[in-house]
Amino acid sequence: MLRELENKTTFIVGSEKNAGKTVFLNYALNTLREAGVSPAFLSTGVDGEREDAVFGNAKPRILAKPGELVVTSQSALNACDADFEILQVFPSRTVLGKTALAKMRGEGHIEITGPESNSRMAQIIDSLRCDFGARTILVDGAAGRFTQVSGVDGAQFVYVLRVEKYRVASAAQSLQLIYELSKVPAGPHAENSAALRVDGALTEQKAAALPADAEIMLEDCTKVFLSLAQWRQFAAKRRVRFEKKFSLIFAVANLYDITREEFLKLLKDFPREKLVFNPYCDK
Amino acid sequence: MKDFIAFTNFDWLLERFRPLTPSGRLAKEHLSPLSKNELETEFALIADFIALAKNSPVRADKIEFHLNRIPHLDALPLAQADSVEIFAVKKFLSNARDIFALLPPALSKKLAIKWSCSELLKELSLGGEGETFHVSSSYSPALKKNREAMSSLAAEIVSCRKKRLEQLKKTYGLDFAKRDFIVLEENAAQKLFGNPDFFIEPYDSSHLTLKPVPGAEYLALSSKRDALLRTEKEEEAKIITALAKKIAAHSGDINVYVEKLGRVDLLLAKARLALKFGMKRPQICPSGGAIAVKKGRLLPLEQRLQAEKLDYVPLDCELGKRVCIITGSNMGGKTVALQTVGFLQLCMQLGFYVPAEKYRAPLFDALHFVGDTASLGKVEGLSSFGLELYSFMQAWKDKERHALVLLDEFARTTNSDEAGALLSAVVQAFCARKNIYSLISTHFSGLEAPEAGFYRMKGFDNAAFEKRGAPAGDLRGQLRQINKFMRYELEENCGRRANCDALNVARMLGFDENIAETARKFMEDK
Repeated sequence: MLRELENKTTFIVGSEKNAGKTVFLNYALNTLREAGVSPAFLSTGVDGEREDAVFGNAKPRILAKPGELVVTSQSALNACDADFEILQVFPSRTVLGKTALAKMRGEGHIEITGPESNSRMAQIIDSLRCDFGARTILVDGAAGRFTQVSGVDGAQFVYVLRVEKYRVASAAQSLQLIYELSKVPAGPHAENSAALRVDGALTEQKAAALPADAEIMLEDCTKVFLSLAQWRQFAAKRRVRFEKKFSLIFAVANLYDITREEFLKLLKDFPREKLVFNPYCDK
Repeated sequence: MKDFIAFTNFDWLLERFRPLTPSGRLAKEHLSPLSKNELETEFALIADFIALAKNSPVRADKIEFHLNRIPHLDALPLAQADSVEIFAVKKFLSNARDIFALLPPALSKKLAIKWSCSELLKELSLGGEGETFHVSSSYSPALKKNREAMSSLAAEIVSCRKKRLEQLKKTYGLDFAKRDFIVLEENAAQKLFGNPDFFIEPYDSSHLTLKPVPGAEYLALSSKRDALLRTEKEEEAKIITALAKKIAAHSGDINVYVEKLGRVDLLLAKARLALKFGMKRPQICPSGGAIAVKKGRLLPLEQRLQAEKLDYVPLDCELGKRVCIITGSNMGGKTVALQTVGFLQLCMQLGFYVPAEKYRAPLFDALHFVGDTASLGKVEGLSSFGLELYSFMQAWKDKERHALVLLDEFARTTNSDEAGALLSAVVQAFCARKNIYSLISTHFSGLEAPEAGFYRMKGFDNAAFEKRGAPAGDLRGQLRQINKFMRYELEENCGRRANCDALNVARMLGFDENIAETARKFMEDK
C-alpha cells in the first residue's frame, strides 16, 4: 500500500495531536527507502519541539539519509547532526528562522518544519517538484487540517487516527465521513453551470435551506461541517461536487484499548483495503 | 495623491510593472515623484535598457533570469552567521556577478557598477560552483579528516545495527528493520519482562511498547560518533565564523550591489513596460509651460476597449492656459481626457515613459483630484458633495506648491444653479492663483473666465449617425454604437458652443422614445 506514495505528494493528516503522524512518516520513509525511493519531506508549520507542546510526550525524530531533500527551519538545520547542502531559502519565515531546503550529504536526525499558510506550502511543493526534481514528497501535516491537501495540485493524503475505546464510535464515524467526502466528484465550477455554489461552511442550518434535487458546488471537503448522519441525509437528495479534489489513499488506525475486530464492526461501510492498522503492532 | 492615482487608474500600470528582485519590489512600493535631474537621468537610462532589450533580447532575458534569482539579504554584517545566511550571500553574489557581466560596459559605467567580490565568491564556492552552499571539507584539512572518520564510522554503525536487529529477529522473531519500536500484546510480551535486550513501556491497558536496547558495541560506536560530531560542529563553526568575517569585510560592496541591482531591475522593468505598450520618453518643460499631448493613451481604457473590439481614440491637445475648461456630451470623453492627462503626468513624474507619441509638461509639486471620490471607495461619513468640497479644500490649501488639479464635474450632485455659481467662483479663484494648473471638466457651458482656455469634446456625429446608424441591440451593442458615432477629439471651443447630445445618447441607450420626444419638445420651447 505504501507504494502508492511513490511519485506523488502525500500529506499525512492526523485526527488530533499525537495521533501518530510522525511515527507513521518514519515508517513510510523507511519503506520507501527500501524500495529505492529517495523521498523529500517537510512539515506543516512549526512543530519541531522535542516534546509535544500540548501533552508533553516525547516527539519522534526523523532520520534523514544522504541525497534526501528536507525542508526545515534555519535553527533545525543548525541543530542537525549530519552534513547537508543548502539548496534554497524560501521567503517564509517562522519563529525558528527562515525556511530552507537542504540536501542531506550524510545520515542524521533532523526536526522538520514548514510553512503555515496553504499558499506558501503550495509554492514550496511546486519548487521542490519543478526546480529540484523531487518526485515523492511527504508532508507531516497538521491535525485535522485538510485544506493544505486541496491547495496542492495532484496531492493526496493518508489519514492517521487515534482510536481510543471511550470514543471509538465518533472515531469510526469521522473516518467514514472522510471516506465518503473523498468519494465526492470534484472539478472546477464552470461559469455556465447550473450548480448552486455554496460559499463558506456547509452547516446543518445552511444544508436544510438548500433545495433538494439541486446540484451543489462546495469549495472543498473542509467546508462540510456536518456529522456523518447529516451528511448522508444531505447527499442522498442532492448531487454534490467539490471544486478541489480530495484524495484519500488510506487510513492508518492506531488503536488504544480496543481490538481490530471491535473497530471494524463499527466500520461496515468503509473499504477494508483502505484501512491499515498501526504498522508498529505485532501479534 | 491617492485619489489622483485612483481616478487615473494608475494602479493598472503598477500591476503590470513587475520588478523581480526584493529591493526592486520594495522600491516599487515606495515609488515617489522624482526631480527634473533625476527624471532626465532615469529616462536616458530607460532608453539604454530599451536598446538592450531590443538589440540583445537574449542578453536581456538572461539578466531577467538572474534578477529573478536574487534572494533577500538581511542587513549586513550578518547578525546570525550560519549556513543559511551564507547561502543567501553566495546566491546573491553569484547572480550579481552574472548580471554585471551581462550588462554592456557603457551601461555599467553609467550605473557606476564595479564588481569587486570575485575573491569572496571564490571563497564561498569551495564546496562547489553554483548557488548552493555547504560547509565543504575543502575548507579545512581537520574537517576533512574528521568527516572521513565519521563516514567510516557510519558504515560500522549501520553494520552493527543491522547485525543487532538480525540477532533480535532470529532470537525473538521481532523485526525492527523499519521500526524504532514494536507494540505487543501484554501476554505475548510477558516473557520478555526483565530481558536486557529491550526497553519496555506501557502502550495501553493491554499492550506494551518494546524498544531494542542497542547493545554495548553499538553504544561504544555511537559515543565515538558523538565525539567526532562535536569536533565536526566545532570545525564547521570556525569555518562559518571565518566566512562571516570575510562577508562583513565586503558588506559595503554588497550593500552597494543590492542598490545597483534594484536599479537595474527597475530600469529593465520600466523598459519592458515601455516596449510592451509603445511608451515614449516625455519632455519636461519649465514650470508654467503648457501641457501638450499627441496621441496620448489612457492604457487601462485602451486595453479594455481593445478586448471588446471597440475603437479607442487617443488624445491630442495643447492646453496653453493655466485654467482649462473642457465641456462635452454625456459619454463624450471629458472625464477620459482628464484621466489621460493625469495618467501621463503620473507616468512622467514617477519616472516611466508615457503612452503617447509626445507628451510635454512641466513638473508639479502636487497632484490633486477633485471629483467623485466616493466612487473611488473613499467614504468618511461625508456625502459625495461633502467629499468633493473636502478634496477641493485640500487642493486650495496648497498655496505654495505648484499643483496640477483635475476637477471632474465639480458639484455634479447639487442643484444646477448653485453648482454653476460654485464652479464659476472656483474658476475665477483658480485664474487668480498662479501656482495652480487646472483641468476642469463640466457640463456648464456659460462659465465666464477671460483668462481660462475653453475646449470641447467634439461629441456625437449626428450626420454620420443619420447616414449609417442602425438599431443598437443589447447594451453592448448600444455602447458599440455610441463608440462608433461619438467623436472623442478635443478641440478649442472659441465660440463656447454647448453640446446637445444627451437626447441622442439617451435614445441609443434605449431610452423610452415618447419621453425622449417630450424632452425634445421642451428643448424647442426653451
